Amino acid sequence: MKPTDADLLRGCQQHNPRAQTTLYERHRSRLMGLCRRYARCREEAEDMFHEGFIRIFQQLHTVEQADRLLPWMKRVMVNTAINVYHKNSKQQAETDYEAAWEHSTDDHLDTLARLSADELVSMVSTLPDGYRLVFNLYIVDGYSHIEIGQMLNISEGTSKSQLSRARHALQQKLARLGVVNYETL
Amino acid sequence: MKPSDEERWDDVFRDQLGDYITEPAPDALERILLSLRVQPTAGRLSRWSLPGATLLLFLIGMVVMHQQPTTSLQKASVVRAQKPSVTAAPAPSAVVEPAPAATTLIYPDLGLRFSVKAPALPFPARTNVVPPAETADATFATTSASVNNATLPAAPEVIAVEAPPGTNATLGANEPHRLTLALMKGYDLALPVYKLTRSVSAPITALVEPERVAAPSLSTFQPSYYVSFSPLFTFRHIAPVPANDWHVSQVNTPGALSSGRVGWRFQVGTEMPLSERWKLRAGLTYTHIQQQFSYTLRACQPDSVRTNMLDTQTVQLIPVYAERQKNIATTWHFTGLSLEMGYRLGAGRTDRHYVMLGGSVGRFLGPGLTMNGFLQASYSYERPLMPHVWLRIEPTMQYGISPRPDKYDFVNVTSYNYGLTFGLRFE
Repeated sequence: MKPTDADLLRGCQQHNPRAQTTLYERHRSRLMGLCRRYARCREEAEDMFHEGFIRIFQQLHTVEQADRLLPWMKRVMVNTAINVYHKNSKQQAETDYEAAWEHSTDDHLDTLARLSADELVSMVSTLPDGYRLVFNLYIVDGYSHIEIGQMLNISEGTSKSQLSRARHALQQKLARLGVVNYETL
Repeated sequence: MKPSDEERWDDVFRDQLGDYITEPAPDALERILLSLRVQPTAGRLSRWSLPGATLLLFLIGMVVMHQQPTTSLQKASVVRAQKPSVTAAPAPSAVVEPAPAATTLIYPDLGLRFSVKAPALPFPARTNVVPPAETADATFATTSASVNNATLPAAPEVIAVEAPPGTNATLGANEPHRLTLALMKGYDLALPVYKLTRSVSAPITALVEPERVAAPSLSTFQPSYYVSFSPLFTFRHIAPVPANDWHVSQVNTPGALSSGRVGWRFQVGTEMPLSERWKLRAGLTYTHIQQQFSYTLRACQPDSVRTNMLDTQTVQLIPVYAERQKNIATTWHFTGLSLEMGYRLGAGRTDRHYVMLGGSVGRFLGPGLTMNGFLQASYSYERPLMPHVWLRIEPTMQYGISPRPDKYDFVNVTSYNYGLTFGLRFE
């Protein structure tokens, strides 16, 4: 019989290796996908995933309700991604895409919709760290600009401008890919 | 972008990426559990159980070490002689010194005061009793031997004893002085050596307060407490882990005076002098050190090939090796026990110089970390600040005993620290 999340939570809080393995197997793909969205490359995603899961196992005792388990695990992974961002931001300056300020009248929506998830992730991963982080937090994971500002120690206005720049940068990337428009023959 | 188009953009990304899944590396779980080293019954306090037990043992040891091997403390009673405290000796037929009043023998180090009645002496005997022996027993043995001579006075008659509160002995009156001192020796007191001089040319009203000749003080070998703080600079030896399939290169560390190397150490403990020259220092130590460096990983095996057409018949194949840049920034917390032996240089009474050698053993706090330690050496300079308080300044060097892996397990790091210790020692 498949154990419920409550059973897994209780087992993991008792440091039962079998419960930990089952919890890992159940959620590994989704959490790895989350890490891949936030990382610059697959290697960095694996580092985030590794560190994030260690934190999950270490802090599981703080979770009281089993129905909050997956959102909590996602939040731990997001926090891990933010930590990596803060570490990297000390070592290298963020590339400022001047081209992102160009406003294009062609929003490439049609072409965007034809790209696969992997292609979209690859495109997002090439964004500068700050843009990518805000983009994922706001667009995909649904945090508000106020929450993003608190998590990243930036103002709400900075979060909004980062998001705007991210959108423009993605448009430029779409144009540079050469996929400006599909002609249906 | 128009707001409505913006929302459509967001929707596309949200729909495609909201439930995006991908598989991690096959050995990810194994590495996670290895890093975690889960304990079946470990709770939130498990990482503090070892330092807590160490602290408890240390406190128990301090209590045991400070049990004084002195007399048991009970209220003393002052025994009063039945005889009158002051009597006047009858005038002898010869010229005799008048019988003295009760005199007092004072042992300031022992806090004892004997009231004795010295017998009258026949004139013109003049006796200086100067026992050369180092123990009171021998002192009065000499005296008692000399009293066989009729010209010498008999041993003084103890008529009262006053002892400080807590002395166990109840000394009876009329006990020979020699017996009294024998009883005192039985309490294993370190009796000072006195130069006892009596002159009978004048009435014996009081003995000269004993002059201390040589008295090794018990306080010289009393343990003392210390507390110290050391700002540190951390250096490190980085060695690649040979079992990996990656080549480590371009290891970069911060500059020698970089803030990334700054750490600190706090110690508290006790010092026990073993002799005039040697001392033992034991205590608890907490060290906080940072570690920042970066390196480049290059796969030993190529994972792709780039082709280059040299001509129509020749293709150049260039293997491409995956490279990754790793940036390490870690803060380490080390707690443990330290033990050092010190040798005193010179013989100054105020300033003291020591060479200290020893080590500390403990644990770096964090998951998957084992016992570790440091060897340490220092030159200690002490001078008194105020009564019973000494200032210590001590250039210190520590060298890590065992290397520890970085978070990616590609390199092993051995730390060594240089610092200047500032401490206070309380006697």
